[in-house]
Amino acid sequence: MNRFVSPILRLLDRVAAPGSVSAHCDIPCGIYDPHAAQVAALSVIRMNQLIDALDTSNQAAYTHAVARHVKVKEEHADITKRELDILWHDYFKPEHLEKYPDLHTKFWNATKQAGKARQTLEMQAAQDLLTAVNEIAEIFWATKGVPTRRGPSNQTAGGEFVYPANQ
Amino acid sequence: MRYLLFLSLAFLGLSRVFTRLEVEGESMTPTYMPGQRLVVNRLTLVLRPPRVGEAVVVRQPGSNGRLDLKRVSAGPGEEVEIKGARRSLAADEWFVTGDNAAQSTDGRHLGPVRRRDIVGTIWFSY
Repeated sequence: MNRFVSPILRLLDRVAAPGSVSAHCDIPCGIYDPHAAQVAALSVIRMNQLIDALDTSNQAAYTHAVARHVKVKEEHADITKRELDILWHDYFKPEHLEKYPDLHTKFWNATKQAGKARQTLEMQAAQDLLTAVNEIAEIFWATKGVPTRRGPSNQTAGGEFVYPANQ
Repeated sequence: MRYLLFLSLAFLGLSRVFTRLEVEGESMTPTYMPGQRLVVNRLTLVLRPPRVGEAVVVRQPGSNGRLDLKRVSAGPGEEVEIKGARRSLAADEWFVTGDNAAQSTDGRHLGPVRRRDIVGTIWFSY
């Protein structure tokens, strides 16, 4: 049966992608940090900046460069979503939701924003993504009892990160 | 037109019973590998209780609704170890574990699940 059904299902998957089921390999080690999501979101901003600054005089070279930058932008928007997903599913617990009842909405909106930042070259979309990730970072550290501060990213892209105040 | 309506209704009905999912992660290797696709039967566990030894899709405690792929390794009345302490499972408590035990977060860490937390059984993979 599999020989006949598998190709049909694979075809159906092209029309409607299957959902995912986690056979996750976390230990769990208890090590979580929103910084990876923040760096990935900043990278999306940086790719937009670099695309805006590209030399358009040579169409072939320009097209090639845009393609490369967009590829990296897509990858880092995906990394942002993945890192947020790890925090959402593996770190945050029901007691955190009691204190921050809009937590699921913040994650949902941040994940949606990562999609928007992929779909457009608008700088605002990328900056809104970093803003959303920074908000989640503030909540994350607050749940650990760690005060936070906002400071420059110290990267060429500029922008700011939420940092633990004890670092 | 009637045939189209019938096919649409049949498809809707089947989609309520069967769900396609793609495996992410390695806690069920080598039985189920990352990227492998599964058809999950949601009707089985409506008709009968889970069986020890069968692979299931489950929402584990504290998973925020994430679907996990595990195997039923113990049922009501059986003794299991949860967070280092041994106890017997109560009625409607089921213990799920990953086939790749060293890399699985499951009942040993999170505790048992109830029948309503088990979404369905694995019908076949493709």
